Amino acid sequence: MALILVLIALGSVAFHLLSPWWWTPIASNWGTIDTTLVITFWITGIVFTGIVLFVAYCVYRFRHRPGQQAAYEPESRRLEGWLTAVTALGVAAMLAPGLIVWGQFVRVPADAREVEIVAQQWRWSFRLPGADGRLGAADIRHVADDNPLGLDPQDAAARDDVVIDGDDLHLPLGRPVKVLMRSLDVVHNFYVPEFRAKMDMIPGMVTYVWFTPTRTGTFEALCNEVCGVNHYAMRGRVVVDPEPAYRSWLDRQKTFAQFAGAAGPRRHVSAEP
Amino acid sequence: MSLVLLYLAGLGLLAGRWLLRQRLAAKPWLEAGPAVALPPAGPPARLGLAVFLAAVGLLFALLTAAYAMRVPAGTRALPDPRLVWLTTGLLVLASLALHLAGAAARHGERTALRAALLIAAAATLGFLAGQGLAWRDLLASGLASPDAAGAFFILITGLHALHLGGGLAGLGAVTARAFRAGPDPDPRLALCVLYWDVLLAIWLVLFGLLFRTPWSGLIDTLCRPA
Amino acid sequence: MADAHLGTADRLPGAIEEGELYHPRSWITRYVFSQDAKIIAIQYSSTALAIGLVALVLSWLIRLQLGFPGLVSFIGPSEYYQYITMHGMIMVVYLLTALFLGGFGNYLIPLMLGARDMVFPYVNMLSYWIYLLAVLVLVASFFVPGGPTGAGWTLYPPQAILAGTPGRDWGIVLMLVSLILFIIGFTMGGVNYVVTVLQARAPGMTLMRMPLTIWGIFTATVLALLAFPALFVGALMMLLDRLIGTSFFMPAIIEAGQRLRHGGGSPILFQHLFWFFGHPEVYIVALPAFGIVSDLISTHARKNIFGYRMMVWAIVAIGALSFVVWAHHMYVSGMNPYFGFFFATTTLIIAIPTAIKVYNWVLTLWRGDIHLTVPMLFAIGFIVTFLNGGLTGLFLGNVVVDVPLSDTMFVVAHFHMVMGVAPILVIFGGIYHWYPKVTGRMLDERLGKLHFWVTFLGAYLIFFPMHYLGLLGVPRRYFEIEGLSFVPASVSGLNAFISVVAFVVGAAQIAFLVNLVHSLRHGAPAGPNPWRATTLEWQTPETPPAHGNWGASLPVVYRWPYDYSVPGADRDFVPQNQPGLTRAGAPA
Repeated sequence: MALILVLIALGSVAFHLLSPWWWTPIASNWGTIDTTLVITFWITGIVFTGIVLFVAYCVYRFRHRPGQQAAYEPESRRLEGWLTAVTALGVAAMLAPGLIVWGQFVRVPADAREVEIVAQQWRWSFRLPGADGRLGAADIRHVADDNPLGLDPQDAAARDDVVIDGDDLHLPLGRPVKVLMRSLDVVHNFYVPEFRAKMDMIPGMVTYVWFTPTRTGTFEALCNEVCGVNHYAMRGRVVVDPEPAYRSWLDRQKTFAQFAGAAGPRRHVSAEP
Repeated sequence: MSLVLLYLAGLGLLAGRWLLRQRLAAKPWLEAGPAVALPPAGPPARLGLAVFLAAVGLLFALLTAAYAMRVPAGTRALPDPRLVWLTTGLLVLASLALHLAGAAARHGERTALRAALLIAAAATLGFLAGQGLAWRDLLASGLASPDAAGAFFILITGLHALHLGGGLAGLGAVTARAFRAGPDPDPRLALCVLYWDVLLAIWLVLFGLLFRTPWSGLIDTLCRPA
Repeated sequence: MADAHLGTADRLPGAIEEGELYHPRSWITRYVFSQDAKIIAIQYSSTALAIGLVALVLSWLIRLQLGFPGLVSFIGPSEYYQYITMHGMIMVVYLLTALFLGGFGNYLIPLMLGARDMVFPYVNMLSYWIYLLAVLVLVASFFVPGGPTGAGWTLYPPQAILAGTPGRDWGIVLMLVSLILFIIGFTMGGVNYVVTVLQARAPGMTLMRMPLTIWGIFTATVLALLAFPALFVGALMMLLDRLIGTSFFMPAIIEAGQRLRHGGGSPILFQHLFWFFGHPEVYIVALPAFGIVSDLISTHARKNIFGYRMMVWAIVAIGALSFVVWAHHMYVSGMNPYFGFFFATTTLIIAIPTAIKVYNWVLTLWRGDIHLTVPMLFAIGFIVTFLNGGLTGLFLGNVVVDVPLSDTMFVVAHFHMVMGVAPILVIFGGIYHWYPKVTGRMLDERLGKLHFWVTFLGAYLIFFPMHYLGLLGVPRRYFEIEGLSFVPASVSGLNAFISVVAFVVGAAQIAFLVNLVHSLRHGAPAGPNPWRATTLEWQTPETPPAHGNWGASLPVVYRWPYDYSVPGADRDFVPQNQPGLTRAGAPA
């Protein structure tokens, strides 16, 4: 038993060090999240190894032998006090950086550009502000064949919005974005592992999250809140471009006004099998 | 949510006060020998009912929290409030009658006991019938209203009526025994008194939440997030 | 008061005298519609283990799909989501909760406290039959058109009641009805457990002389009585949304191009209700496990539990705190993000009493006289897996670290380790420990050791590497992860490995079942107190204990439950009901 406990402790550490499975290379400003995670790994790793090794020692050293008698020791206030204090310290060492980073997480920088993601079973659509730099009003009441995101046709701010339905989302490199999220049916979650940040999309609400892309490339987006039978197949892509490439991509996109004019025959919102 | 937390805090205080009297700081290994435990007083059935009612209270507290989260502030589109004032009066009457029945039982006044029990049962049935009328109005007007106030009315009053109906079964047994003229007082009567008092208190909170009453302001303050 | 004489005057209000006890008249009332808590405990345990076997088979099917996608044709995405939903719900509610409270609670509360039975035996019997009905309704959902619900065990609306989710027609309705029944049945049992602990203890059994098992079960029962109403409300409201078209949780929705009739509802409201139940539920499972493991360790290390008072306070503190941490399951749910500060803090604070419990178990081993019996092996296995799962909880509770990890395999690995493997190891340990009292015969030790090693090491091999999949970003509840660009090919090798180990661990449970059945007749006779334990259940005049437990007169308690290896005593244990001097300097 003792030997196996030692093996478990050392094996877990070895697995941690040698494992080929580790987080994806980060592509956003949330490196601080990774740092907090590493701090947590260190503290919990030390505690885990220490306690398991101590149990192993006890199991070996105090195993039953004829004539052995256990010590009689109801409690030790001093020892318990010390252990409590050290634990509280360890917990604080994890909590404090966590709360600081969370403070940044909930405060969106003033210069963040807004982008909207709209989810429905089982696909993503996107909306970017038009020339006026802001997103117009939208409501599920307005959803129609030629208006998949339910933009308000009466709102001038909405008419110039860029609507991307069935294509990838592009984001400019190095600019903070505030992602507003809506869902037309059930709870979804827009998750790009490389960005670290994610948030649920709740029908009837607008949720948000913000980040700054720090690396160009094409990243896979998944739905990360179970949303029905094709949940696992609800995927999309986010492309991070340098500013000039982003500009030229944006110029090629259709605005809501153009989109509404060009809509084809009735298109059902349906699932791929 | 604050009503739920307040309710839980209240239960916690009660439990904490009781625990404090249980000598939790004693060092039991130093105290070998006979000892007398101090259980909460009262017959087990009463304690059992109290524990059950604590859970029921939380059930309704959670419903008020759900109501406050779901129904826009100020919405009170519901059946005729006069009808509900009337049913509330009947429930108060039932509770009072049960207290009188308790007093009558203690003094051995059999006729008064029987009368009070019948009044309590009749008033409770009247309350349920009144709620039924309110339901009929509401169902006729449909439940699909987006503010869900009507649906909440059905759900909350329905659950409350179910609990009251269960109590009526107990009250029926007590009444039947009172008429069979058993000489000793029925211990279940005290349970009925407690049960009706608690369900009345719960109803008054729900009434204040669902309708515009003099105490609605207080209920709203407690239920709605600031 | 401490010196008051013990006579009938001190009889507790809930104590039942032998003559007042309900006496069964026929075989049916003795063994089927029994009001004896011991029989009810066995009924609860057997039903829970039986439905647990169903959940075990479901976990095999899940692992079959994850480890070897496409190998079998009958698992499509619909089936997969149905399997994970039913596996989760059965394991958490119908196995763990029912077995700890209905099984261990019913058997141990009266016996460990020196009571003749539960205070309300008839209600206790009803509790079991309603539980059985709930299980049958749940099982029925496998056979209705469309099958059981595939909404995930969290049953989040609107998804759970929309057509895009399997089992939308019947499965979800039966699931909600079953949950409502379970809660009604549990409430009956729960009221019973609480009142029995409060009022039916034997003379001399003060609260601070109660074994930690009872403290754990008692606190868990209180939590359950206060947590289940939230699930009750949530289930009822969802049932109304589904059946009569109300909109408690249903906002305006466009489904397959059509506007639904619903509008204005709040999906997050359900999440609050669900987790207001869901988080205390973790402790409803964990606290009895904490209690039982404390007693196992103390008995088999022949040493008093270290820091008994601290252990009691920690149980109470954890129980109280568990009601103010629920939203740590909702950090990325779109709720007001400022709640994150509060809930992360409360969540990490709860780690402190929990850590104290772990230290005290370990310090109980230190300088003990450790007998590596089968129950002790399971107890040590619990410490390792619980420690591991508890520490990964610190990742997920710390709001910002949770953001990348939430809803990945890291979460799956975490909660399986902490509230799957760890409590189940305690359940096994408890069964090996108390089976001799229940049946009068020992379980086979060699089979038991085989069962332990395969289960413990296997479970660790399954769930430890799984954390790293989550770290990589592999999401949970994915029917297949084919084609995810960030997932290296080596992951499928790991998944296959995990699946193979899962099959082996599952198969090892057969050894356990064989042992349970075989030892019933062929086990070595156990005698009244095979583990030389101090607590009252081992001091019954008969083994297995007869109806009424204690023969002519109730036991009288003279000491706390952990008098092991007391200096100066003639044996290495002093039963709780043994009067007289125990040790130098402590007059009786």
